[in-house]
Amino acid sequence: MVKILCVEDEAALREDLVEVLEEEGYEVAVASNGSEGLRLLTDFNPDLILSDCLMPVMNGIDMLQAIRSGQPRFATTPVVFLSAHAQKEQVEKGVGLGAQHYLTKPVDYSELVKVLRSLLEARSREARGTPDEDSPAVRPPNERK
Amino acid sequence: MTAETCENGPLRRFLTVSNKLAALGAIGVSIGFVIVIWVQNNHTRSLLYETELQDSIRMTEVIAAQLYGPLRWRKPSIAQDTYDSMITHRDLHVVAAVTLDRQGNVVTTYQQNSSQPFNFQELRLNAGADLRLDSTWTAELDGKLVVATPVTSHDGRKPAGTFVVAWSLAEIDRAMRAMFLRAAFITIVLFAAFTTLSLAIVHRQLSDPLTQLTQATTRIANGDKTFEIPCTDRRDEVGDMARALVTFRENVALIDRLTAEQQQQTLRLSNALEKEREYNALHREFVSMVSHEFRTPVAIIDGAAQRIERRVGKDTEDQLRERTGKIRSAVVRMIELIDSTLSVSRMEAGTIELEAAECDFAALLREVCQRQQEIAKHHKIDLTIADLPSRILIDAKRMDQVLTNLLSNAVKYAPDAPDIAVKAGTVGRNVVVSVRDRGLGIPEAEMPKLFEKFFRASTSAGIPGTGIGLHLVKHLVELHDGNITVDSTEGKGSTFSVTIPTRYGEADAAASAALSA
Repeated sequence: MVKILCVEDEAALREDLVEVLEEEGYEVAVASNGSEGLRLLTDFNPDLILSDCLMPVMNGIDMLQAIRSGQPRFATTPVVFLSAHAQKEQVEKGVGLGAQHYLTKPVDYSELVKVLRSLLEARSREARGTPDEDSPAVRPPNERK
Repeated sequence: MTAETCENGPLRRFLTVSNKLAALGAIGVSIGFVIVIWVQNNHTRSLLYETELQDSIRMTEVIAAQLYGPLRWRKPSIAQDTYDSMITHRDLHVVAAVTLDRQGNVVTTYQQNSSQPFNFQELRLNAGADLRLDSTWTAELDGKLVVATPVTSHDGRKPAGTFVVAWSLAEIDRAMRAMFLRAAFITIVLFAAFTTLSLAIVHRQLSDPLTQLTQATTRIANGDKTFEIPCTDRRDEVGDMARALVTFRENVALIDRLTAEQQQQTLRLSNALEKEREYNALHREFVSMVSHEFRTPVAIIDGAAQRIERRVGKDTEDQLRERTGKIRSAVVRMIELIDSTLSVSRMEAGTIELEAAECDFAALLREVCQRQQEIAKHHKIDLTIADLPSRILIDAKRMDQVLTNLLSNAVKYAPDAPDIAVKAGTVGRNVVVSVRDRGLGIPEAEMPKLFEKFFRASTSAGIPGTGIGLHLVKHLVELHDGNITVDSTEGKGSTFSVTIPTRYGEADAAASAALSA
């Protein structure tokens, strides 16, 4: 089963996200801030990370930085950011760190599902060795799964 | 800029204007005096010489008259006696004398100082080869007066020879010298006295006042303004200058004052500008934060609505209720935010007025705690009421705002610490409510600014917040004549304590009633 790590500090939103993702058949783990997310990373081993930007203790961007500079297997894990307002510099920084997508709150859940599906499909195609020209963003290097 | 002063070498100090003036005066006077003395000297000398001349001639004639006998009767020894009695014994100033006969031969000679040989021939020649009838004289022989007089009988008709005398002018010279020395001495004394007097006068009148005024000007230029300017009461040019200096100083003081005022003004403006900039920056942050804060409940509502839509027919009643509950909580959050923002702007305008009414404070507390508990599912709000009057006089709506804000802060800033304790009790004529969390705390250094508008403690990084909550709370509490304090340790938690009088406004009303009674 495809695993998604969901990092969001606002409980009400977190619950919704878990519901939506589980409906789609994903296995979901939750964290309420960036450092919690990092803690869960190794054990949960997600295929994709869905994260809020502005959180206490450690925000989304810093978490992504830590992930990318940590274990190599997470260097290319797709990351989708949810943000209350997409500030240009935040977006640029995120993209620079290899974030695949940015969605602004309030999030349309059906659109979210579509984005996740296409990202995950692209990734699994790559893992199998088939290149895909419709992948939405930066093409990560080949990696054996 | 300080005033420069010339180097004061000893020569320069000596060559002051006043010294030059004094020297000039003294020298002038002395020259005048010297001229006067010189002229007088000459005059006296002429007189003395004239007198001496006449005396010498007369004496020569007197002696010559005595010599007629010895000469006529050819008695040189008697002539010698005459010399002795007339010249030696009378101590006349005769250097040498010679008696000549009618042929011009030397008959007898006289010499006062026998050690010095006297040239009688020259004396004789000086007298003239031919005999004169009258006395003649000349002063050209070695500075001696030579008088030649004919030796004749009483009636003057029988000339017997010539008597020639060389008179010494040494006495005159000595007298002259003495007089000259005296005059010189007097001149020098007068010169010294006059110089000293001139110096003293010029110094007092001119040089010292000038120096004083120069020093005064230097002091003014160096910023010293409070001393007394000298010489302002004099009626001459120096006084004029002193009075001009007084005016100058006043002008300098005025300029300094104006400059200082201007500098202050610039400083004030600069400070005001700085404050304005700071405020604008904070305000921008506030606006940005508010927009973020609004989006979150909006996102919650939208998310709940999306889920309701999706799960139509599939949700249970409880599930549906949970979703609608989220919506309502989010709405509450938004209303609070709107209220605070509105309150802040009203607070700025000074238009918040309390409407005090009897209120069951315990009930209010319970209500607020319950409301916040519903929103904060991961926290436990524990309310303890020690003792409260059944009714207190407050503005319930505003106190609701205060308590709500404190509680929502406690929840927000203690994301990992679920225990929140609310305690209420009565202390004297006041009600005290405290809200304690075990969350992120506030650094000691930031405590003074905690209640400032837009201020957010550094420990709140990453947690959305507008920075106006506590500012508003403090304002509302103080409107009630109460106060709020905080006790906090970074990393351990914070306790906020609010104290308000139980009867807001009543104490004042009673007092003013008592006064007007």
